[in-house]
Amino acid sequence: MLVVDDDTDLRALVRDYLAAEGFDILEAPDGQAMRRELATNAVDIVILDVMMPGEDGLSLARSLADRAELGVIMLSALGSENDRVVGLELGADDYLAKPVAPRELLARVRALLRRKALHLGTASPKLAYEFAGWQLEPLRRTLRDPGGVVIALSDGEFRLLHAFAEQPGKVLSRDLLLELARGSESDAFDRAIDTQVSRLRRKLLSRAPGEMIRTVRNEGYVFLPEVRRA
Amino acid sequence: MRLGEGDRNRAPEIARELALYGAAADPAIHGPFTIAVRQRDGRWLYLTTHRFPSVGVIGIGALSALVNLLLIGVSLWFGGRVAGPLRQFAASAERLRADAEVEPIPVTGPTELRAAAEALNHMQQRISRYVRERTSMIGAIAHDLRAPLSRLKFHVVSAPPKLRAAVEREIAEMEQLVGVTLDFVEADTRSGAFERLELSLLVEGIADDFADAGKDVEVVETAPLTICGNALLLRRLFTNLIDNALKYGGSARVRTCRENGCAIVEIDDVGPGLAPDDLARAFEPFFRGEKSRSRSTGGVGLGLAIARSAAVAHAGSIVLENLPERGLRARVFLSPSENA
Repeated sequence: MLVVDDDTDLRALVRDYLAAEGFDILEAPDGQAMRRELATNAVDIVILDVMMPGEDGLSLARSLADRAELGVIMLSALGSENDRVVGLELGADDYLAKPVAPRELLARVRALLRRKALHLGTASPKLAYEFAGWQLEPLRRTLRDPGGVVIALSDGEFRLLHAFAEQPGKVLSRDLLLELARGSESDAFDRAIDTQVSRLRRKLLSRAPGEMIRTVRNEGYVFLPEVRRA
Repeated sequence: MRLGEGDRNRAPEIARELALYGAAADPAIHGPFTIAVRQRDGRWLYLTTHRFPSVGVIGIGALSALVNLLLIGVSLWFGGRVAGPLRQFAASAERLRADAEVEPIPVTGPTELRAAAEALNHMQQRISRYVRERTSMIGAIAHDLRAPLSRLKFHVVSAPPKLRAAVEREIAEMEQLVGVTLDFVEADTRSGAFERLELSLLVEGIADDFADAGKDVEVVETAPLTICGNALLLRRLFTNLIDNALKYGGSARVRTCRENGCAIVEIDDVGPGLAPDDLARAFEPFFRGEKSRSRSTGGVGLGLAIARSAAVAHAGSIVLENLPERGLRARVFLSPSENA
């Protein structure tokens, strides 16, 4: 694992923390050193700071994008919605806002290693989905109705719709949907999945006619429209 | 006073007259008068003025009327040349704000107006540069705090659990303050993409998020409202307003409607409301009501400032008003999209 950050103290702290968890850690203060380390060592994951003098983390992430075997986690002190989207679009596998909680970093590192081991691809879906004239962009957390108007859903509804769009035509059980809709960080998801689904249905119907989510008695729900991944 | 050749002989006489009338005797004598001059041969020469003939008065009247007419004509012409640009000038000055995006006042019209417009434009540039510098300084401070906070988080990893929990709470609080401050700076300096969006569903989604987290938030009335806006800024706007209602009033009731072609969102709470003086001041950055200066409610006092910046970015506004019984109402006015 390679930690690229111009903040010497933080780099050392991250190194010590992850080393104590049993990882082999390399360090680099800038892009040049990063390339040197990558050329001579086998690296699974690069932890990349965004704000660095000289070549910044975003452009380094872009230069690493074609090395599919390499996982990239970006750390940024900016941490605004927009920077997150840009970071992930440039090919980073994950994005964490500073100040990063050590346990959170460890969890993301392990999750990325697991996904790489299973060849599951990246943490963040980089796709856009199209169904019945609607457009869903999970990364930007944007949904557009057939008229092109942006429709903002609640977090739970958005994750539900995303889960549906990923597996159209399949019956999804309430337990599975609950798991998918809960998200990683939220533990305050106390609404019954049925309430969420009926709310989502009503909001979708208020913008365009046509049934999209059908209830399958005793089994769960199925997403009816054909989904095109763009 | 200078004496002519002939006057030399009369010097003592003149000296007497001077003593009587002074050197600057008023030369303007009104009404008819007579001058008597004794000649060298001892005879007197009389000069008598006559009253102005009455015809002359009419003439002067006519003349002054003519002049007046001429003046009116000139001022109408001049006024026309000035009033247009002056109106434009006033309207532009009205729009002046501290942001750099405001269009400069057009430099047109008569010389004086052009000079005034240029002066005002320069002032506007200076003010927005000042505000930009101040805002980016706040942003830089907040941003730079994240580096030591990051290190602090790693430092306490190996601390005893009790200490670690305490420090982590403090860090979390500082993190929140830094985040809010950066939101504020961003709302003031960055304008993201504006697109057509459904306002009522956006507000409803935020209310649902709060309700899902177990908060007492309910949408009591809703109407379809398509506006042109930036979803991120609007989310912050309504999140902050609902959050305030919950913090100070315990609950939030949300209404969206269309009134006089305006998209309106109302958020009511049942809290103590605000002192009349605080209703307007509440929007000032870092303002916190006297009663809210406790750690239990927290916050830096930027929530409403961020909300207002977001509303202004949408050419809208927010008004706070105390409800007759109890509680505070926040009314947000936004203009609907033309092709909604």
